[in-house]
Amino acid sequence: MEWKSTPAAARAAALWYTLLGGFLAAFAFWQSLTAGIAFAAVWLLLGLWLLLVVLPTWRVRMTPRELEVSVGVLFPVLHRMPRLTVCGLQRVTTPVLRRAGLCLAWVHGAGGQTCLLPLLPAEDLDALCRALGL
Amino acid sequence: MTGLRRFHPAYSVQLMRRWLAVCLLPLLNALRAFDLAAFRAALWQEGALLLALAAAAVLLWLPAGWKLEQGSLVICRGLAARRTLRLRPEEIASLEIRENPVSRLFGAAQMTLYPRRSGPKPKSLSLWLPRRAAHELAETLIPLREERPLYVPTRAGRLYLVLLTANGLVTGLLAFVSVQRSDQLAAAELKRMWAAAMQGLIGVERLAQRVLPVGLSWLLTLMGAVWFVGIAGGFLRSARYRVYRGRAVILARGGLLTLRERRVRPGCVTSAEVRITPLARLLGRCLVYLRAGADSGDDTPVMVWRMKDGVEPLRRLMPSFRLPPPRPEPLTGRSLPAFLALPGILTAVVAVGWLSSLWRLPTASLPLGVGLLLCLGLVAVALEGFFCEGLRHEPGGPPTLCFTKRYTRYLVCIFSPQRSARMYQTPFSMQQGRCHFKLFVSGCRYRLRSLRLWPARHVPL
Repeated sequence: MEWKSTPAAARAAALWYTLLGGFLAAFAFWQSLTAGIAFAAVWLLLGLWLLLVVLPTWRVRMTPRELEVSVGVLFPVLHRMPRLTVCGLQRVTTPVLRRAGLCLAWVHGAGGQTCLLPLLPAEDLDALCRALGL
Repeated sequence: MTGLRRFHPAYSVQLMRRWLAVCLLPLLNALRAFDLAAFRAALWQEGALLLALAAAAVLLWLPAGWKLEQGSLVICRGLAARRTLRLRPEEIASLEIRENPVSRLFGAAQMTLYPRRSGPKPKSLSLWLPRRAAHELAETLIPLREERPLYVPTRAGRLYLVLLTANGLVTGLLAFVSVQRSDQLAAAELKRMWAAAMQGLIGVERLAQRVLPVGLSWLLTLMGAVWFVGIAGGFLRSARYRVYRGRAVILARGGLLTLRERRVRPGCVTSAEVRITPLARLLGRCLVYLRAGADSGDDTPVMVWRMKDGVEPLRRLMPSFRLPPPRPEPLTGRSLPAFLALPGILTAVVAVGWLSSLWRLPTASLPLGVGLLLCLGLVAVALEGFFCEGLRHEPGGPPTLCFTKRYTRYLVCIFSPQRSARMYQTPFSMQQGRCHFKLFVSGCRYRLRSLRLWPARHVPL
């Protein structure tokens, strides 16, 4: 079984990213117009990279023994958690996420590892919980 | 089943100790006014606060207590909001009883319980009990049915005394040199140089030329003194130290001023660590530490292992113990900067400072030379890490790993099945098919650098 980031997740992440950028841009424009424009350009490029290149690589894979979460292109990260050691899943929803039918979730392992999952549709997350026996 | 038994009154003293910072608040007012009347008023207020805190601590102590109910330990605390915690003995991975000289005077003992799993809080639970009750409770929770002495340190006391004397002599010598150098700095001259330093860069250079050697000497003296305190602490802890191995318990007890007793369930041991420090290399003997659940066991080594004795003494402690192979990883494609970057940069900076001191500031070259030697030590240990760092999991045995951190090389054997891993790659390590690996084991993390990706990706967890 494999789940990966959906276009709806990219849209929700883009909204958060834009809101955060707007808040920070206010401080950059406060310094000078040039600093503000430079910040906006860097933020835009970084956002395009993260949303169009990095986010689609974020996936959750369930093998018979393990739960694997991988993300990243230049700096790939892979989390491996044996299914038996997964001891909890924390789920967060916000009004925007509820509207998009998505959930933000963390998995806690008995080894002390915590791993952030991509924004998944609520029914996919339910299926994941069932598969993990949570 | 027993009725609720009260904690020792030392429990209320401990509660008060946490709140003592509140007593400093009236002093702030006195500092603002800065006169005798305000100071006197602040003292009165502090006295009243102290009394109120003492009354609150006694009120919290009165209903608090513990009991044994159906084989479980029940701990009750709180006055209005009662908190009850129930712990089954099997959930306790280890416990430690600590009796410092003051608590022994009042017949109290501090018992710390460490749960088996380290995820949810509390990570440990500290109770103040009457001394006899503490030992009875320890016997109930983790009983020691048979005492088979496993390890009795012989000649350790004499060795510690030799080390203490050597360190004391060196620190004394350093202090003498520092005092002599400080005496040469007259206060009037310093003031004049400070004023000159405020005027321009040449003044700053002259001030640095005068002050830097003295500062470095004092820094070395301080390092020696800290090391002295560390060795003295080790001596006090290791005196009368004995380790026993029963079928269901590993027990370590000893100490000179503070008596300690640590009981560990062998079934709950997360990992065993052999730490090869520079001193251990010199003496050919290393300290062995056991982690159990939330108990990191960092301050109480379980035994000293003589390297030439082989793995047998360690197997008497944990029968499935294995040592990692000397070269767990092939070196082809291994990243040298991953190991040498930080110590190398530090060494380069200190080396440049030392070379410039030879040219411009000969008085500072000795302390800087010592610093350079220390940095070279870091580089040497990092190089050793380049050759020996790795993870090995052979079928039928526990995983073993070897890594270096600062001056110490760690040989670790993992017993806990609660493991997970995180692999991380950079563009450079991707080219070589390698990754940085982090192993999470029951609340602690082991970081290994530049491992081959495929074996790390498929190592059974």
